[in-house]
Amino acid sequence: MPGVYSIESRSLTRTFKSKGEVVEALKEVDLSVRQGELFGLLGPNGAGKTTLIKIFTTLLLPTSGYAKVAGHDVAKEVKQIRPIINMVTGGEHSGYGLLTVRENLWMFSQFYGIPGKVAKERIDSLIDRMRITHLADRKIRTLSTGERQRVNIIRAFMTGPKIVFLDEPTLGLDVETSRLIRRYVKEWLEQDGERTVLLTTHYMMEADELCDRIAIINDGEIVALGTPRELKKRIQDETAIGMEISPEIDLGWLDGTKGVMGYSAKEEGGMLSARVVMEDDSAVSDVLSGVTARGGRIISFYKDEPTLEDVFVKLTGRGLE
Amino acid sequence: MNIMLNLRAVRGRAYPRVIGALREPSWMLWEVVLPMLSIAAFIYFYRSLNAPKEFEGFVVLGGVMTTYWLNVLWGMASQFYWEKETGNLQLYLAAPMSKMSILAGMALGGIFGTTVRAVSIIFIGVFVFEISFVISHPFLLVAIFMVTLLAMYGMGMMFASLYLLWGREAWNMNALFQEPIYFITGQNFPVKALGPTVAMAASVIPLTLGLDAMRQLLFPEAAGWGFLDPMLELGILCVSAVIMLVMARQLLAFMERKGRETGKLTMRWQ
Amino acid sequence: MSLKSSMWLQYQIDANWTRPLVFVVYNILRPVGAALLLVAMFYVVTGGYMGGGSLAYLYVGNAFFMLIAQTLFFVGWVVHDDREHYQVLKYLYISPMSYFKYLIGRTAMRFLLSGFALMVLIVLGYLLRIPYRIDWLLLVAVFLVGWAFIVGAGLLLSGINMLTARHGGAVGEALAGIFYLLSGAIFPLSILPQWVRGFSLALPSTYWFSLVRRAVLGAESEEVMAQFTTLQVVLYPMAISMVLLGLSYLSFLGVDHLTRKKGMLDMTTTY
Ligand SMILES: Nc1ncnc2c1ncn2[C@@H]1O[C@H](COP(=O)(O)OP(=O)(O)O)[C@@H](O)[C@H]1O
Ligand SMILES: [Mg+2]
Repeated sequence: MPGVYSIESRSLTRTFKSKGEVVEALKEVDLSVRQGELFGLLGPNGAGKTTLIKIFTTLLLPTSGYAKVAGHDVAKEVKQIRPIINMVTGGEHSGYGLLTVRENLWMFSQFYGIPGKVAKERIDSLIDRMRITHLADRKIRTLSTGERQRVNIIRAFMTGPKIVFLDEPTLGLDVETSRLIRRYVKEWLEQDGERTVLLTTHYMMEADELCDRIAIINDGEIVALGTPRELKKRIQDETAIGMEISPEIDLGWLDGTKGVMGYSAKEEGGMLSARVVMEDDSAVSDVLSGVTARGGRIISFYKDEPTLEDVFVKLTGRGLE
Repeated sequence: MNIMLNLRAVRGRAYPRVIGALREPSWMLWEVVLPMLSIAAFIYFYRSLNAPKEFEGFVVLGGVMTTYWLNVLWGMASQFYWEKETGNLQLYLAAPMSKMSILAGMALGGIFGTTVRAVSIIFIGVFVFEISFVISHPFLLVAIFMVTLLAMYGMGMMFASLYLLWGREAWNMNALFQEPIYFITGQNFPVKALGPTVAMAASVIPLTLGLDAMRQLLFPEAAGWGFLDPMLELGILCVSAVIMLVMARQLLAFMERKGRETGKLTMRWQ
Repeated sequence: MSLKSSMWLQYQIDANWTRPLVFVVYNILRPVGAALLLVAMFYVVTGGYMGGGSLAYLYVGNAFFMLIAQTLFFVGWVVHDDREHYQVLKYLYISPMSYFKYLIGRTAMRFLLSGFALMVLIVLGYLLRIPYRIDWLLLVAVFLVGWAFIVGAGLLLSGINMLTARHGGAVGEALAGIFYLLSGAIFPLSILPQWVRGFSLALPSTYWFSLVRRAVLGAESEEVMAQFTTLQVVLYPMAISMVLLGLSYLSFLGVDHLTRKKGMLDMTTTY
């Protein structure tokens, strides 16, 4: 369908009421994903990624604004949307533990009305592709998280969807499985120009490596949108440094330091691995002396290519993870 | 509506129940031995009171129908709740088939499994407890049995959405729907004994009239204990089956809409 | 978690007065429903006559069976619920408290709480003019012996449940069903076939129900059990309960090994 976006939203807002409190999970989200795109939504936990996916997959209604999938309104035209979409969620435990991998997949294929023989062929070929041939006749309750997620990927792709929604599909998976899944998704998309994937993640490497375009979402709002390169260009004028500090110290004071736009920090092997984004080089020495003054020893210090994470830090003042 | 799609969906959802029923080895044992224990207790109880032989037949008939009733409660009514907890529900909801097909598949698979049990109970009743019954109106009997099942599973479909809307608390309804229901539907005794008012009220549950009609047909000696004429009971059961199925559909649509509005139904841990 | 806190946990779950509906369902409607079912069966057979020794016999036996049934039903669920519904079994398991002790605590408290349903049924019995002649000392013995026996049986059952798929608490019901059928709870043992009777006499519950009748109705009307002295019907089930407790502990050790070997601590088995 020329001129129509595969996935689209305008002023999409979603609020939840729980215990008298109103949570604005999505605030006026505008999104346009073209056919053939692998579009990424990058954001920390609680940013609203799952909420957005649920709305596009017809599981949740918008509070205001609209969302469309293949030109169909998610609120009213579910009958047109459901046959052409599918989805996978990270850490998903779908299916029945008592059935084997093959049986579970066959069952799900029936919900899409796929003729038995066609379903069996597709399942077999995808089982090969996902390298779980040896698990095909095992009960799914005996599978590991990674093995299970490969089954979930098959479950979504075997129904021949046009648009696939992947909600943190590599959450908690090992490197090998993640890589397999990413490679497959990319390949699947390239096979047919009419296909589209919307993927959410909070792994910036994944977004950077995989996505054609990325929207950074924070607190229900899209704060930046563009190709990974475009996004990274945004902090050309700024300075981003990485450092490893031991022992761990609290970095809260960075918020008030002049010239510092934001920072992220995570613990890694007993050390603190931090990235700090600054307006320019002039703040670097203040940051370094600040760390030492608070009892932190700087194990390593480097200034390198800006990453998506730095973009995120600049835009929101905090890290992704 | 795409008929092939929905037929396949029904088959798809029935499949795990059929397989699951046959695959889990502890299954046969529990599901047959268990009802047999209380059936045997009730039979000996009647014997200790020197009750006429056909009363022992009532117990076996009640036991057979109760296995279906329990399947309606645990395999239908509380099922959506379980599906939500395991994460299947959201996949079902996002798939293109009618959600009634899922319920129908669950019911058919459940009926299959339960029938294996029911037949075993009948065999034990006949060979161990020497229960004898008369099949004088086979067509009427089968019709009543089928329509009773249809109405009962229709009721289960209705409850499936209701329980989900209610949340964890609804779980306890299944407890309420056991012993108290056995009593007011006349599981092991002619419901007429409870008086016409109670028997009438109990007829809201299809089990009551189904049991009463089959009791009259299978044990003609006890025809005097019949509550209503079996033909009339069949008519009422047909009406109630239609009502249950229509309501199941309405509630399902309501549940789906409510779920999409609140976002609560598809989420684990409300 | 200690024994005391697992009892407290069970109390919180079960005696939740803030959910009156749930409380009424489990403690009043279900037991009363089960009792009325039997009374109705009695009523149709006697042609409306409501009295005599057999009514008292069945009514009292059925009422006290509630203690067994409610506890065993609970036990039938608890392991599967922990494992599959709340999915906490694995966490409880790795906590420093032993899962065995945790189950003892919860089972013991469940037994105590079943006393409420029993009370409701006893009161209802007054309306049916059941001729109670309560011997309070024996009644205390009824509770002590019953408690030891049910906790022992319950633990053995939990061990089995850790190895099986979720089947709606089937194992608990099965065990309760066996006690109901074979212990002379609602009809005299003489009704059972001769070969089954020997088995009945090996069950501690048979003696316990005899003790119940002596404590609540003033005498044992059941012919077979009347041959035993009151002391015998106290001591015999007590001794068996001790054996059960020992066995259940041993089986837990075995099961413990097996579940970890086969990775059954977090399996989910719905279909
Ligand atoms: N059903 C719900 N009821 C109340 N609040 C919700 C519900 N679903 C999500 N939220 C809230 O909406 C926000 C966004 O959540 P979510 O979309 O799950 O974020 P993400 O997937 O990016 O981690 C969070 O603050 C979350 O607590
Ligand atoms: Mg999420």
